Amino acid sequence: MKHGVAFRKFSRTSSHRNLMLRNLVTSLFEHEQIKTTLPKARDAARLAEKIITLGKKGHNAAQARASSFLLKPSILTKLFSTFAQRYADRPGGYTRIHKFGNRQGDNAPHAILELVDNPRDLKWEMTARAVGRELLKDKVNSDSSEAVVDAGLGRVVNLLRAEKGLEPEEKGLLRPMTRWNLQKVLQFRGPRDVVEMSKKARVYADDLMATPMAHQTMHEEVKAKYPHTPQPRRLAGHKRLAETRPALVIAQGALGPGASPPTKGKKKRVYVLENALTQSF
Amino acid sequence: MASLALTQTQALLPTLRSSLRTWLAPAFGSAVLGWPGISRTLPSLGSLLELFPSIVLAVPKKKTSHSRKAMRSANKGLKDKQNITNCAGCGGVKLAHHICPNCYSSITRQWKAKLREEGLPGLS
Repeated sequence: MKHGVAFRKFSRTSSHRNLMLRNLVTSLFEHEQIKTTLPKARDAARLAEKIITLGKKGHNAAQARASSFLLKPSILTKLFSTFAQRYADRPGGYTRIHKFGNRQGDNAPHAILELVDNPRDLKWEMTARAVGRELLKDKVNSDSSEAVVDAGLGRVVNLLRAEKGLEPEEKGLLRPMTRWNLQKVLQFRGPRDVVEMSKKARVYADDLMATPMAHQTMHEEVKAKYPHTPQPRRLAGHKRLAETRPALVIAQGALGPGASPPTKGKKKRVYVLENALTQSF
Repeated sequence: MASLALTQTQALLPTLRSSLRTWLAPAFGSAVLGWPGISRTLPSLGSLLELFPSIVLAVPKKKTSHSRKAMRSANKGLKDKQNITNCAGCGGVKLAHHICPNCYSSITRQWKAKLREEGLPGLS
């Protein structure tokens, strides 16, 4: 029976383990984002939350306890000023773990542990990308291809503000999961960050349109030198804009169910746009 | 030669066993080790008896044929991954509930480029 054995041992003596976890937490506070194995990230996150709570309390006893835990004195000032201010309104949940596949070398499950709302917030970046892609997809469905290529996304701040206020059951432009991520990411941030997010989404949408064109240009340069160069293949399972089939089916290609996707109505125009950019590559 | 001696003793064993017991009892019970005839024959018979253990180990009776081995391992192969999804940001394939490695690499490259522009030390 596993009673009263709550946490991991990491095959270390308690002194070794505690020092390792203190070191991890100190590194997390120093860099605000660290990469380690998933079990270590989970245990370090738990301790980091406790230390940030101490930072928010800010009294003498909290300072003494934090200074006895952290290994670098310079981190203490950061904890009691930056983090205490940043997480003043947040009721816990100051850390975030992203799974990151398995580590090269020993195949250990790898994870990225980060502080929420840090300057290099991965979830913030990923949400901006998802928002940019989905708004571009919508734009392409509604406008002509030339207009989209000329103007890009345009102003989307008001759109994001509207999405921020939507309830889960209401229907908006974004996918439910993307909207949920957007709301979570913006929840404890100021109004200026919505503008920042919209800017990022717009830049990323331009990126999305420019990438196939850049690839095509590179291909043409190579082809000018070596005329028999074949068109580069699209990556297996890659989802183009307005593709509705899941990744596994896309990866199966011509063998997958629904191999020739129905090309009627608005969907067709999306394929035409992508093909116009890449000449069917 | 050894095998010949073995078969001979094997045939003799039933008859030898009873007499051996009568020989062994005085040999171990008392100190009659000085008798030349017995001291020469006794160790050889004892070591020969050890060659026939009462327990026989379990061993395969027949060699496993290629077909049988193939049939046994027919369901031992790797299973197909089903937790493959598309990244919401780039549309590439990634593992479900994991961060997209493609997006992660491009995002970190942007951060590093920005740090380099500012002349700051790179990301660790």
